[in-house]
This record gives sequence, C-alpha cells and structure tokens, in this order.
Amino acid sequence: MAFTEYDFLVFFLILLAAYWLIKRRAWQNALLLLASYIFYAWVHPWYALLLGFSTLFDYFLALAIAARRDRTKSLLTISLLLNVGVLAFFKYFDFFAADISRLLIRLHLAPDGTLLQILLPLGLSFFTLKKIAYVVDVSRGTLEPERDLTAFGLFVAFFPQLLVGPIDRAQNLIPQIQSDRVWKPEYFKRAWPLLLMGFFKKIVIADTIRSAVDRVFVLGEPSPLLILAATLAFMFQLLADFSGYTDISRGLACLFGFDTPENFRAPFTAATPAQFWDRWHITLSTWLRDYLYFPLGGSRVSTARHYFNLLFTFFICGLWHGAGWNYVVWGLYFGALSVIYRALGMGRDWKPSRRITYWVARVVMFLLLLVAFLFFRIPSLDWLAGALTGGTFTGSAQSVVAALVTLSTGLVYAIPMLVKHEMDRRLPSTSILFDIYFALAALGILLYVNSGAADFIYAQF
Amino acid sequence: MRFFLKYLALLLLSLAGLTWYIPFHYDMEYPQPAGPRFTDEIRKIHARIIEENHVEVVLVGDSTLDRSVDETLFSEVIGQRAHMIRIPASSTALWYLVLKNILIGETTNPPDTMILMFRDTILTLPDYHVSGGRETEIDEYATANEDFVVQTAYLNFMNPLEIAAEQYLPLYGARRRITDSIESYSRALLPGLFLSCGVECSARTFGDVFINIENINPDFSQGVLMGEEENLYTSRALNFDAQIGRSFLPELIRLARESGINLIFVHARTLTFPNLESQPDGLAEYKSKLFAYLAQNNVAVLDYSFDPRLPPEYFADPLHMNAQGQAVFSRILGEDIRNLIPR
Repeated sequence: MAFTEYDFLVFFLILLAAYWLIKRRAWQNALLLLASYIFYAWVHPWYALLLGFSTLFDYFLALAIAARRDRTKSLLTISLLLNVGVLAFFKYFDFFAADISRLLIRLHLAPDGTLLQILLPLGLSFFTLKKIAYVVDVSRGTLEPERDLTAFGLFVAFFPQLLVGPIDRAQNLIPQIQSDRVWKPEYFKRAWPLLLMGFFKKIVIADTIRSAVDRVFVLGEPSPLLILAATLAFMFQLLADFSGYTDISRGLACLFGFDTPENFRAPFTAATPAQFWDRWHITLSTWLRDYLYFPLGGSRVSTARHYFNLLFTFFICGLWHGAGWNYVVWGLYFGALSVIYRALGMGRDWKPSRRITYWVARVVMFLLLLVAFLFFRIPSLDWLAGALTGGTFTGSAQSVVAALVTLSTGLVYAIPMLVKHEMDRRLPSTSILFDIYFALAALGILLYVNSGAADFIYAQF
Repeated sequence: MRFFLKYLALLLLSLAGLTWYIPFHYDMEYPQPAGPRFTDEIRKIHARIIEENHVEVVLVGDSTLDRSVDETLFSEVIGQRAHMIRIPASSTALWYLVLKNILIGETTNPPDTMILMFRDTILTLPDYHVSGGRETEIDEYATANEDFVVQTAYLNFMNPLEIAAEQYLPLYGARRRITDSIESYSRALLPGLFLSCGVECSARTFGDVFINIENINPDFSQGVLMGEEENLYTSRALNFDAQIGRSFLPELIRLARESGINLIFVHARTLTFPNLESQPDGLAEYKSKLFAYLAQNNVAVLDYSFDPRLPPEYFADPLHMNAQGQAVFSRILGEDIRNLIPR
C-alpha cells in the first residue's frame, strides 16, 4: 500500500479514528502494530512473515545479550550475520544472478528461470538497519533491551517508517511508544503542513519531473549534454520524491502522537561532501557513522586508516542502495570525494571567511553532486559508456533542444521547492504568504493527482 | 490553528472561484459526468474499405495481429476478401467499439465474420490499455454516447472520491487539459529563451526524440513491453469468474450474434510463456474456464498458445513474430479459419 493510494487513505482514516477512540496505551500500540502488519502484507503476505520472524529473532537475541553479558560478542555476531545475510540474500541475489546468468549463456548453458525471480521485500533495507542499531546498542550497554514484545514489534514495523524510513533509533521511538498518548490539537497543527508539502512534492514535483527524466534514460544513445540535463532534473526529482515521502511519514507519525526525525535539510546548498551527508538522508548517514565508520576507528586513527574508513563506509553505502555496479561506483565516488576534501581540510565545519569562496565551493560541490547522481540514475555503466563514446558532447541540433526541454521541465517544477526553501529562511511563520503557498500547493495536488501515481523511488532500495 | 483556518479559507475561496471559472472557460457542464468524454466523430476509413471492397472477413487485434498475419496471404488462403483492423496496444474496450460502431454501425453490409485475436486474460480485463494515449485512440472509434464503455472500462475502476471530484470539482475534471498546457509551456521555456524554439517547436522535438521508438534502447523497450504484460497475470486478471461479468466479452458475443456476424476468437502464440509448464499459476485454469464459456455460447476459438508449428525462431520479440513467422502463421490460420467460415 503506497501513501498516495486511495486504499491507504481509507485504511489510514479508519485506523486514526479507532486509535484515538481507544484510550489505553497498550491497546493503541497493539492496534498500530496490527495495522503496520496489514499495511506491509497488503501486496505480498509472506513479507509480513519475514518481518515477524526477524523481529522475534532480534527481540529474543537482545534479551539474551542482556542476560548473558559474557556471550555478547557471539550473540551479536549471530544477529549481524542473520540480518545482513537476509538483506544480502534478497538484495544482492539479483546482482550476482544476472552476472551468473550472463556467464551461463556465454557457456551455452541455459540459466534456471528461477534465478532472476527473487523479489526484494519492500522496506527490508530500512527495518534491517533499525534492528541492527538496536541490537548493537544493547550489546554496547547503551540501551536496555525492550521487554514488551508489542513495543519492540511496533518500533521495527511502525508503518509510517516501514517502507522508506526515516531509519529511526530505538532511543527515540521506544520511549514514545511506552508513553501515554492523548489527542492534542498540537499534533494536527504540526502534521498538516508536513502532509501537504509531502504530497505536493511527490505528486506535483517529483512525478512530473520523473516523466521528463525517465524518457532520457531509456534512450539508446543520448548525447552527454542530454544526460547531464536529465541528471540535473533528476537531482530535484529525487529530492522532492524522497523528502516528500519523509514529510508524509513524519506527518502521519505526528497524527498518532509520535515525533520522528527529519531526513533532509537543503542538501544541495552544501559546500563539502561532509556537509552534504549532514543534510541528505540524515538518518542513513548518521547510522553509517555510528555503526560502521566509528567502529572502524573513524578519524581517530592514522591518516591512511582514516581514509580507508571513509572509502569503506561509502562503499557500503553504495552497496546498501542497490544491486548494481553503478551504485558501487557511486559509493566509491563519494568516498573518494570525502578523502580529497578531508585532505584539503574541508570537513563538516568548514566555512571560509570570504563569502565568495563559500559560494564557489557550493557551486563546485553542486557540480560534483551532479556527477554522483549521474551514476545513481543511469541504467548501467555499459549504457553510460556507450552514450559517452557515441558522438559529440552536444549531439545533433535536435538533441540540444531535447536537453533544454528536459532541463526546462526539471527547473520549472523545482521552482516551488526553491521558493519554499527561501520562504522558510526569510519569512516569519505567520506570514500570509505561507497560507497562499499552501493553498496553491493543495490546488496543485488536486490538479496533478491520479490513481496511477508512481512508487516512491527509495521504496526500491 | 488559526494558521490552518486562514489557509483553509484561502483554499476554499480559490476553489470556489475556479469552480465558477473553469466550466465557463472550457465550456464544460456542471456537474460534469465522471469518466472520459468522447467526441462524436468516428474514424471511418475501415468502414469505407469494408464497404468498397465487400470485405467478408475482418480481423481485429493489437500489434500481435499486425505482426503475425499478412492480410493478402491470409485472404488468398481463405479464398475470401479479408481486412485487418490492427491497432497497437488496443484491447477489449476498443475492439468492442470497432464491432459496435464500425462493423455494425457504419456499414450497410457488415462482414460475415469477425476474427478477434487475443492472448491470455485480455478478453476479461476491461481496464487494460484504456488510459493515457489509448483514451485518445478509443475516442476515434467512440461516439459521444458510450455510457457502457465509460462504465465498464473506467468508472468501475475509479474510487468514489475520484468520481465525486470529477463531477463536482471542475479543476479536477479538467486536470488533463490544464496540466498538458502547463507542461507544454514549461517544456518550451528554456528552448524558447535560448534557441527561439517555442511551444510547437519544443513539442515537435519532444516527439521526434522521445516518442520515436527507434531512439529507445531495445533492452528497455522490451522491458516495458513485458512490464505491461504483467498486468495480464495479476490475481485479479486470472480470476475468470470474477472478471467475466464486468468485462466486454458477454456484450461482444451478444452484439455479434444479434447482427449475424460470425465471431471467432484466436488465441495468439507468444513467447511470454512458450510452453505449458512455464505458465503462471492459475493461467491454465483461467483458459479452460474461458474456453468453456466460449463453447457454452457457441463461439469458436482457435488456440495457438503452444503450437509446435510456431517455434521461437519465428519471433522477433516475446510478443511479435518476424516475417518468416508471419508467412507461416498466416497460412496456418487461414487454413483453420477456412473450415469455420460460411462459404
């Protein structure tokens, strides 16, 4: 069930009414847990079985770790092996299956048809990271294991976050699950702008830009200029799509009385890779920092080891995103950028005294991001190589017009996001301009909504 | 909360203004009937060919028909004048309109036989291939009064909110026209500024570069083709008992019978499932129910699903035959049809 579907609207309204009619916290949690499993099982019921078994496994394992501190290491290893193993099996089977299949064809051996039919359960990448963080924190002694199975189950399966995050931490969500919740108008006050902006970004901005971008990446040999134009448009599409999802997720959670973390803070205004990752998919980057980069030693090691840690962390980040060599290159590219910027002394807190230097750094970073997102979006590295070597940079006169057509759509539809960003920065929240903006956004949704809305991009990861 | 109320007041005010302005601007009724509105004009070329050539057999189908049957060769084999109405990506809504409005409605002497080529569950999926560009195609065969088609192919698949919005919110009802116009202007903004290429020039380039099938990566176009085909094998599509009552099939049979047209269904051979074993769960059961239904209604059906005379070498892609396959199949089909048509 996607947030943009009519089925979801009906499901959500019934659930919300029932949830607030029930006064007891235990029943509210049980209802939310049941609803989360129904939400998840809507397409493939066996997904819910996988979610249920893996939740039970980590629930008992965390309790065992707390009870047997002498066996923490082995129990943690079991949990990591299982969680990463399941994720790797579903996520990367296709990755290798395609290569194995090609090899078999070259050897004139027919590949088994079932090889390519392993479906990735939606949201697996997201809830697996949630569970790993929980078990690691319990093993470190920084978190008490949750004894209430319903509360733990809800932490893992909480439906607003289940498919595409944010990757919430137990320290944030479980205490809220364990607190009494009574309806407050405050929840609605915080939720409605998030929901409105989320649907606006998804339905009006992301889906419209998508139709322009997708047309380029299905061409046989588009010119490099056309690819760059489409990539630029894609950057805004992805931001609108993913931040839109996060806004909806946070808005929905808010209506149930939960405060969940944000994922984006104007990422394309970053001046360094470290600043970018402080603002882009924040819950993933902080997860990678806390559960991979720091355990590897972070920056408190030799320079060479520090650089390796950066490269390795981003390599894993690329692999997490998908089964394709382009994601590996994407991750390593970010790793290499981070190493170079660190070597130049341009880290997270870097801010030059001269304004012009800062602006130049932002433009350079934006151009570097353009290359990164090119790797992220291309169908394959072979396709990119073919397009780059196929002809001149601009291609034919028609291709130049096509590049401008694509860029035009991307930029025109990105303008409302840029306007909102500037309004948030410069205007008081009580300004009438916000009312006008939201009213126009609602009209835009009405104009662009249709029952065949595309899936959120990050749902595929 | 005052912030929300201010916003809501603004929204309602704008909606009220647009509800007054849009019907006036686009010359729309209010409330507008839900579902697509078709114009009264019908494409008459097929009716003219049928009339002028005294066509006796008409074949109707999508691109699988187009690529698997050679009209001239087929006519020679059956010894009667045949005409093919092949509309790529068409489906039952359009085939029903071809029978009702072209073969019956527009000809003084309807053909004796209509051969309808289909595959798998397409005959009982009334909402398959009816939206987007296909809606425009359907309009070419529809009159302004197609309540049955609108209900069967569209309204039955719209939720109550959508139906109410289409009727009472002109902004929603006219959304396609409005967004098309916004999109064409936004596409032309930069080409217009830098290359003096305005709305028309940008639209032309858009069509030449992005809609031209020759520019599309073949792997991708095949992927899209097969992705579309997946809609034929969902659990809903495979549920014959639930689908038959809401499909165009009973009406197709009734109309043909009442007009004295001999209706013959032909199940195309494709490589989506090249043999019996590769079929998804439920397809074999679906087909047996479909064939039983057709037999019960005295409608002939020829099934080439797994015909060994049509090996994979005869196919250009999983759905379409190559020239060699077309030549062979035209002859096979012609010989089988010859035995089923009045002489």
